[in-house]
Amino acid sequence: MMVEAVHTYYDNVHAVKGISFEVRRGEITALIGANGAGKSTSIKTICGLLRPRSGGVYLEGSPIHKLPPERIVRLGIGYVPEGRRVFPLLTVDENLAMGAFHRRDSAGIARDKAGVYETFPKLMDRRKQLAGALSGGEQQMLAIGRALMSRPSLLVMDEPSLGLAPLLVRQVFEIIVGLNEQGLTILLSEQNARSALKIAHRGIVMETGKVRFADTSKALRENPVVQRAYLGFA
Amino acid sequence: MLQELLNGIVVGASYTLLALGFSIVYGLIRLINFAQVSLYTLGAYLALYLTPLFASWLPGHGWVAFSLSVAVCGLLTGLVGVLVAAFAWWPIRRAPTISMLVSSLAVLILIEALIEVVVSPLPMVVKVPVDNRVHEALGGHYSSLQAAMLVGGVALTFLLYNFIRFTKFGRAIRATASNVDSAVVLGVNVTSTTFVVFGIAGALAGVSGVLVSSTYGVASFTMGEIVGLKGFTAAVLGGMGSVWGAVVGGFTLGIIESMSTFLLPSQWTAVVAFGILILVLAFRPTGLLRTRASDRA
Ligand SMILES: Nc1ncnc2c1ncn2[C@@H]1O[C@H](COP(=O)(O)OP(=O)(O)OP(=O)(O)O)[C@@H](O)[C@H]1O
Ligand SMILES: [Mg+2]
Repeated sequence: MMVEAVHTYYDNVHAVKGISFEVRRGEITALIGANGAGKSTSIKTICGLLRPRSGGVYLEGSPIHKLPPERIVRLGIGYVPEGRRVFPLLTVDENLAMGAFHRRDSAGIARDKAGVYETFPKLMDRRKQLAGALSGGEQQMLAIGRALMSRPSLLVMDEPSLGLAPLLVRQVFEIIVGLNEQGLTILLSEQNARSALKIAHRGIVMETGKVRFADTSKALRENPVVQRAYLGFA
Repeated sequence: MLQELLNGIVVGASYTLLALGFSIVYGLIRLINFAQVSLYTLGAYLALYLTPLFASWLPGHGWVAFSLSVAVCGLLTGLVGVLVAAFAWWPIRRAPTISMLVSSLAVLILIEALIEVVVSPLPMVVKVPVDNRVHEALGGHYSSLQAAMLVGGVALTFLLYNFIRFTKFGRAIRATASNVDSAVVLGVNVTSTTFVVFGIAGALAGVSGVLVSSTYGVASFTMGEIVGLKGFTAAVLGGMGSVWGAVVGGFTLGIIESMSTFLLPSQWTAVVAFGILILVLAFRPTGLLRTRASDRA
């Protein structure tokens, strides 16, 4: 997937100012930046929740930035929103069913649901409970499971570690690596550059709506500017 | 006592049908769609013509003709509900909710005015071709039409509740109500869902209008206003946007009103209903059933 010279506005707030980057198939790409850098805005533009004022988003070479979000999910982009945003008044099971909303293959849906429960056994125990009653970590698992139910080829995750205890953060990152090893391409935004660059193949560093650096994780970890600003080196 | 309870459930059924309409539309687009109140009235006036027509086609089968009339009027008001969405909501769907509210009120006034001009400004007598006997049972008196209204209202409520609870479409309505963005990125088309929901709300309102006007034998072009406000009260009582809340709110309001006649003259029922509305809005604006803050963003 390619993002090319995208500008996105909230009315007249210019939040994303001409960003370009690439997410390569089979890789984990980390979108790094401080509060307000424009990570969520970029991700929402990719998923179709926001329209770029100029520039474009291309999936396998075809433009998707004029499509509504309900069409983009059908093309294989799954989205895990910032702050999880599960459906609190739906049960865990219904949340997962919603993930497969655009699909018609009931046998495949049932198989994928079983797969999600296998990956997240805690959700299995709580399948009949309302999602609003889950803990933050469980809601994050559910949000990931829900996105997987759409059978994405690219999973876009907005700050999956936000507000989770360190142990859970590690668990979520392990799950992300596991999904990637099964062939899923992943784009994730993170404020925590250190852990993100540990699992990602490539990183994109955003500052005030622009791409500051885009390189392999290794190169970014060795970059003195990145080290000072994002990795806590003195 | 039982008589009042039964009366309460009968009027409660009509409040419930309207409350359901308010609630499902509000859940999707955060609009209190007062236009549906005019579809309640429209349903009653359509039945004024259609019930005798069907009765003339089916002589001797009064109940069949009446049931057919209820169904056809519901279908027609459902279609008008979709038209209301197309002309009064869709063009301004990105406008602030307050603009939609004004547009919705304009539709209410327009349809009422049309009925007043085209039919009559005077109340109309509604005749139903059935043997409307008064029965004695469960320690009270009630007419066949009251019983029909009770059965029809409860059956429709049951149907809609299960539709919302157990079908894929109903699940999408509930999901969209709790978070629009999360629902659209999973493939829900909010625009087409909203059209369907306006249609359902219109059909519920129309059926309710036919049942009430037939039971009490009278229709007037302003008949929807008080009942509509009570349906709205019921929806607020149960928690605007919640389907189960609308059901509980509708029947609760009907029963409270009916029971209040023990203590107060019956002219006071409106005071009781709207007193409840003000109290709930002041102390439990999210409804009596809502307990968790996480329920609603
Ligand atoms: N709904 C909105 N209306 C107006 N401005 C907004 C809106 N949402 C975000 N912004 C602004 O756009 C800029 C980018 O915000 P964005 O949410 O994309 O940042 P972020 O990198 O995701 O930050 P965080 O790490 O805090 O989630 C910020 O300056 C923010 O104030
Ligand atoms: Mg963000």
